[in-house]
Amino acid sequence: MPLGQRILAAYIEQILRWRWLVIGLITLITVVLLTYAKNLRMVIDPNTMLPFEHPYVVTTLEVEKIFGSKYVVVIGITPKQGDIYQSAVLEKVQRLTNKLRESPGVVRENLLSLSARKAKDILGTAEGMEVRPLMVEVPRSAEAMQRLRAAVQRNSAYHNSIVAKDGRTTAVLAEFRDAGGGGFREIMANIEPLLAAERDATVDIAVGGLPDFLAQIEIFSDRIVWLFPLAVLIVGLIHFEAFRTWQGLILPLVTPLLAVVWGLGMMGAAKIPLDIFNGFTPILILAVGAGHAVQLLKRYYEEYHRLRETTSLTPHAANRQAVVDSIIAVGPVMLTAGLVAALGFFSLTVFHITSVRVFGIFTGIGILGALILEMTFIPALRSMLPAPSDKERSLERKERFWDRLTNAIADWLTGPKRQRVYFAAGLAIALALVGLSRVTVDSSTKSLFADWLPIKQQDRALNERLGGTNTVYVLVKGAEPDAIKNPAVLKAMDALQVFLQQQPNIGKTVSLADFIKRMHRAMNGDAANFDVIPDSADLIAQYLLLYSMSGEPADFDTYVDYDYKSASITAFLKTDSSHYVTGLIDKIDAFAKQHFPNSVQVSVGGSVPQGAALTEVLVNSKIWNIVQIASVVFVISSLVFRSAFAGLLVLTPLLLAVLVNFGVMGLTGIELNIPTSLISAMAVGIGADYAIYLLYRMREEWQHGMDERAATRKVLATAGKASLFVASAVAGGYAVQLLSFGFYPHTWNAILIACAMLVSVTAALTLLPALVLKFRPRFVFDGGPMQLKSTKAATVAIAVIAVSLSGALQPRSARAAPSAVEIMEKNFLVAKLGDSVADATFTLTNKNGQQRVRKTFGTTKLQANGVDNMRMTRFLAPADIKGTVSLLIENSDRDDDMWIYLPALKKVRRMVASEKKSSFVGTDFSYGDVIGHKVNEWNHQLVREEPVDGIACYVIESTPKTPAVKANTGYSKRVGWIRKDSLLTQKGELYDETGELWKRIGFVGWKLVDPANGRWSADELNAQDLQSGHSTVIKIENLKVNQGIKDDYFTTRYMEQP
Amino acid sequence: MPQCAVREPSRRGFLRRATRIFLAATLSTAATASEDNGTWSALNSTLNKFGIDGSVRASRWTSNKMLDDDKGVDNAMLWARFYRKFTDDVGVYAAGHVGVEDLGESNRDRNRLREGYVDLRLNQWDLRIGKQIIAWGRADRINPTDNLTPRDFTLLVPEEDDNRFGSLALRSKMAIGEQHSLHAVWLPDFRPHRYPVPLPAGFGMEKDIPDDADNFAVKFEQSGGRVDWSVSYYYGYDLVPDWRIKASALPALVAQATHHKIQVLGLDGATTAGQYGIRWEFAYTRTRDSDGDDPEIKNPFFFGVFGVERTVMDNLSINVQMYSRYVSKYHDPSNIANPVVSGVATQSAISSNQGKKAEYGVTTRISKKWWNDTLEGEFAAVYGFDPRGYLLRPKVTYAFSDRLKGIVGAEYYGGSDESFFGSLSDNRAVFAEVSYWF
Repeated sequence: MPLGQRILAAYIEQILRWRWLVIGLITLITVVLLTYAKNLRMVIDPNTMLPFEHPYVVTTLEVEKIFGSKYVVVIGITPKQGDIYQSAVLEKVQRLTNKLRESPGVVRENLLSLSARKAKDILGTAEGMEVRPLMVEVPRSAEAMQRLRAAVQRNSAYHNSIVAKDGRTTAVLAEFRDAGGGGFREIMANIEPLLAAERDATVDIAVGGLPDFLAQIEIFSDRIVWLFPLAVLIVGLIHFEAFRTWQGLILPLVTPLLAVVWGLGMMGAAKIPLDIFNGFTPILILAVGAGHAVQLLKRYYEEYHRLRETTSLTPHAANRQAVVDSIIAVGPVMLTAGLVAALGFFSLTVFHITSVRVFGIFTGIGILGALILEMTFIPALRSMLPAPSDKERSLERKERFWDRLTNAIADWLTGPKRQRVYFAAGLAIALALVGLSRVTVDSSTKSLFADWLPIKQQDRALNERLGGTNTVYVLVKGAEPDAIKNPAVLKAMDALQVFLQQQPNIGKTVSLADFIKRMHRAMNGDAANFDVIPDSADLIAQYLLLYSMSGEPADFDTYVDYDYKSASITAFLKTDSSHYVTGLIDKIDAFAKQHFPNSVQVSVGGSVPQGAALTEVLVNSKIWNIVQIASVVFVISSLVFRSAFAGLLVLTPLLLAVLVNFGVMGLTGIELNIPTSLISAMAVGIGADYAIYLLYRMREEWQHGMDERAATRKVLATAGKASLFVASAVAGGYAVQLLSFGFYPHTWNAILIACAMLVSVTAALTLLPALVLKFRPRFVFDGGPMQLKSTKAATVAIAVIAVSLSGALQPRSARAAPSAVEIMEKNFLVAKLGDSVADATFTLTNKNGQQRVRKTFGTTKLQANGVDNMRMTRFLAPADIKGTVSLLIENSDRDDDMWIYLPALKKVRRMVASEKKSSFVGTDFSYGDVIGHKVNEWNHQLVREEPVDGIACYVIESTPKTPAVKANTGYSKRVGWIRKDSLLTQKGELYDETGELWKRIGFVGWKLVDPANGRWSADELNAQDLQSGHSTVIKIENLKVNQGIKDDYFTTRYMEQP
Repeated sequence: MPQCAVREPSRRGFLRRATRIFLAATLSTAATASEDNGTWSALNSTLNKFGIDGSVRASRWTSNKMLDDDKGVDNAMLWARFYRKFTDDVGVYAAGHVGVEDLGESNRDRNRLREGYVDLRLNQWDLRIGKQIIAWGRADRINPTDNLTPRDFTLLVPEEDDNRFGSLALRSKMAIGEQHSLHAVWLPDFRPHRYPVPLPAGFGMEKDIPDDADNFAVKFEQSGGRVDWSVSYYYGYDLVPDWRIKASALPALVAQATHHKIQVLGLDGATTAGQYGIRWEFAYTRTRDSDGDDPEIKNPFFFGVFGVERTVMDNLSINVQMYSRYVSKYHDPSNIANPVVSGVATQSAISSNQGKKAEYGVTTRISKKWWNDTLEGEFAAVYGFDPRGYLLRPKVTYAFSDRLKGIVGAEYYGGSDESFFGSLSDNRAVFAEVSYWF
């Protein structure tokens, strides 16, 4: 067996041996992560999606910093009868304004409505200028109502912003700083009761604005809570149909479900909320995880059938062996494919958008989690489940639709109709290219929702009646304070406003220029020809001074900064299309260059430009993203197969899937926007698996020397069929998102992922084998032993896991010279007593002659295998350790078990017993010396024969077989003088790891204590540490053997007595 | 609500004087007689013959553990235990200490019968009746399931587990096969932990200890084979008090320690994998305040520990554990409008490790023995991330002989005031102890 497979086999044996521990640990990790996953929330924080270096975003953040927030909720109140100038309507405005002022998170000073303090009427009077609130109290008389109407009329800044031009709708504009911990839905949830209180038969109250849409995204994204279980059900049912066994239904779901818990748990632990991107993570991990699980399960069934049919193994043994064989066969390819997928997602970290990076990292972790589970938990679990019954076996093997389909494909591929595959692929590429040319890049929050949804209807109504529910800010920034008071700047701002209002979709603009114009006109008898910016900077300064005498300091906060260095023009838009706004910004830039003085800078920001920035960055990153994932797939596949052509072959189905995806988007009118931009990454991540599994299997089958047709049939009937199951299940799982009516990101996901799955599996099952058969690459047909090339990378990974899980693997090499080994084997056994009780006194003497004494009462019993002992040692003196009890159960096939009872601790504690070189309770004997060194871990050589104290002895030199044994025992060599008469050790010398003589041990007074079995015991053992000068003498007294001590004495129950 | 009973150590002058005389005599002799000589040897063997052993300890701590400003504390104690087995199945055990803390200054008595019980073995049943210490949990020193019998955290002892003391209990342990057992414990008398609480300035303090308990606990355990594990359940009073303002004392500000019943569902385990020891222990504690809206009662919480240990390089033992406490239904006590209630609730939360919704931390214990177990060094540390708090405990033990032992060490508490360890910074101390074992 090649080395890689040997390591893999050793690894999987360890997993099966420790299966309870593996399952326990995985369950534990899962439970812990589940507690973290419970804390996850769906929160849309647009700040996590922003490309912060983009100029639109820079301006937006600056505008926000100086003038306030971009999160504006627009509430429109339209009476069913007449205009807004009715007491009942205005009372509603007043109540709403007052209540909103108290609403959490609202920017009070920017609250705008007819009754807001900020909304001022500017009037010229004999004394100068009078600035008073538009509506201090709700007008009760016709006269008062007329005065309000006139005030609104003369202040054009409020036209179409808080009062519609036709006077039929009035608006309340409330700004919010940010979403806060409760997300936007909390903002809207706070507002909704206020609106409900005012809604009645006389008015129509509509609400809109960015926070409302973001809140809806949060709410709709929560649908994942029921979509996910439904997807699980669908995936499970498709698997059940495919395998026709209950295990086929359940097992492939265990891995992805646990992996989902892991991924989400880690998100929860990192306190990262779910958002529009990583909300897809659960279904995505489910899809990938299920894919690997199905491949492994399919292979397991295959191996199980083979073992039952070609060997005489019992079902139980065949089950266990099939678990091992399937991991050996599929493990490397699974790790390769999983690694490709995980790296694909990890590569999303190059995106400049935090949210996308987070999505990539967590999906990658989820996939790695699935791999770990598939390599640990599933084999452990599978080995404990009952073997498939004969009925299950026959059901699983029964030829059905899937088999007929794969057989038909195999026949095409190996027959004269292979050309049709190329033709179909060519046609698909051509159609996709047509579609691709029609893909439009446009991002719009509103376009995520169906038109029939109330949110869209209300938004439409508001946009029809008022200036618009979306905003664009033009930031005008001077170099010096008072730069904005420059008439040339104000005139340019005014001109830009006029220009903007001529553009489609712009319903209103407002800036400081409107107020200056209004002041100028008011101060000039309200004459219409004074509705312009005055030419004199001094005059403007005087107007502002006059205003400040009766207005309030915060009135202009939204329009100009404190020292008049920067000002903003707010344009209200009826659309949030990024495509539209990009064109608009180009026009603004061109206009600004022409009309504004050079002393000021003009830039554009706001929620819509910010969306446009995001879209622009996404599209750029998107191209890189595809190139990048494709490169990762290409490089890893090329390395694994040691063939660049293999890399190209793996890429083929993926590129086809991506191309067809774009084609479908172009042909169906799905825009390339934020949600759809991630789908190709997903498709590549999932789709690479099929090609890799197929190529591995092709190579395996062709190397078995099968003919072309039979090999193709076998490949498609095994790995091909499994890919088909997975693709169908993933497509089905994603298709449930079609049930998320009205929320298009889910619909797009369902269509595009299902499409990508079907295209990549079809290409993997048809085009890929066709190309392999045509070009007959060497890595498939002439690959040499599979191990040498393909599984190296994977086995390195497995080896790392294996070593860390099971400790050092101990290869068993050929035996040393038999005579020396025989001597040592007998020596090892000859002092092992059936059972014994004895008192022992340990005298420890240091180099100065100071002595310490320890007394113990010990009990031993040989286990049924005649080799391993059980030892209970109770310390009787000195007082500070009196009552300490140790229990050691030796296990020749694994590490020994050891417990210790410390009276101060009042409990039994399990200890690691494998540190054989540790001193045995402070003596010069190590634990290894006391237990006995395992004969098969050492090379033994008979070097000479010589007498000791007149007794003839063999001198045997033992050296450790592996560095691990050396490190574990602390000895580089042991030399034993073994009595020829009884094969007992008379004395010994032990060398430390550097080869220096370390200790000398001796045995005095050997007695045959069990003549029936030829077992001996010494009265005294001694050891001298020649390096430290310390020595130990152990005297054994009151030894009794074969007392019939029960096994249950060697349990922790008997340790706790004081 | 059970009646309140405040227990203060009785101040029996005779015992104190007798103790002091005995200790002074013992220590002065022990200091000069590190090796056995005739008189001592005879006395030792006589005592040992009667099943009595113990130690005489003299120590100096630079601070006591009362969170006061008492610095430089000299202590003298006699620890003794007695065990006598009458038959293979019946035995009696008693252990306790007498002594004086802060010798020559405040002269606090430190006398306690730590345990006193009868052991009975009836085939598969092990019964232990009497005052006894019951220590549960397989994690290293941080044990979420260890809720049955208390500790005296104010006792100045270098060995952490010496601060345990027993409660009156009936413990039954039924062995099921060689590896499994079912434990049932009934604790009719309740003794809480004893530890100092840094109350806000101006507060008086009062304890309300329930004098009827009926606490019980059950545990099913596997000990043996490849993995040791257990599942346990405890229903009874919480050893850690909740603090509240005593309404009847108003307007005087008196914080009252009260104990409420809790239910603790726990599981723990330990195994080895190669040269690694792995331990875990988890518990979910349901308190009386299941909705989390009563600031005077702890909120339900999950507490888990997972750790790995390994011995390397000849006896260098390294143990690293992670722990996490997660408080469900968490309410930040600092949000309570009433500043007085908030102050006490905050302090109560800190001492119960409930200052934050989730707390995480690591512990480590590194120990090594040299010179054939003559010299032993240990460094233990606990570090909580948020709120940041830590405890460092270096300690060196040297055995001058089998009977005379010296220990020097330190306890260093630090971190933010919101953390449990940070709140104990007044207890930072360096200590040295000499003990004579007989």
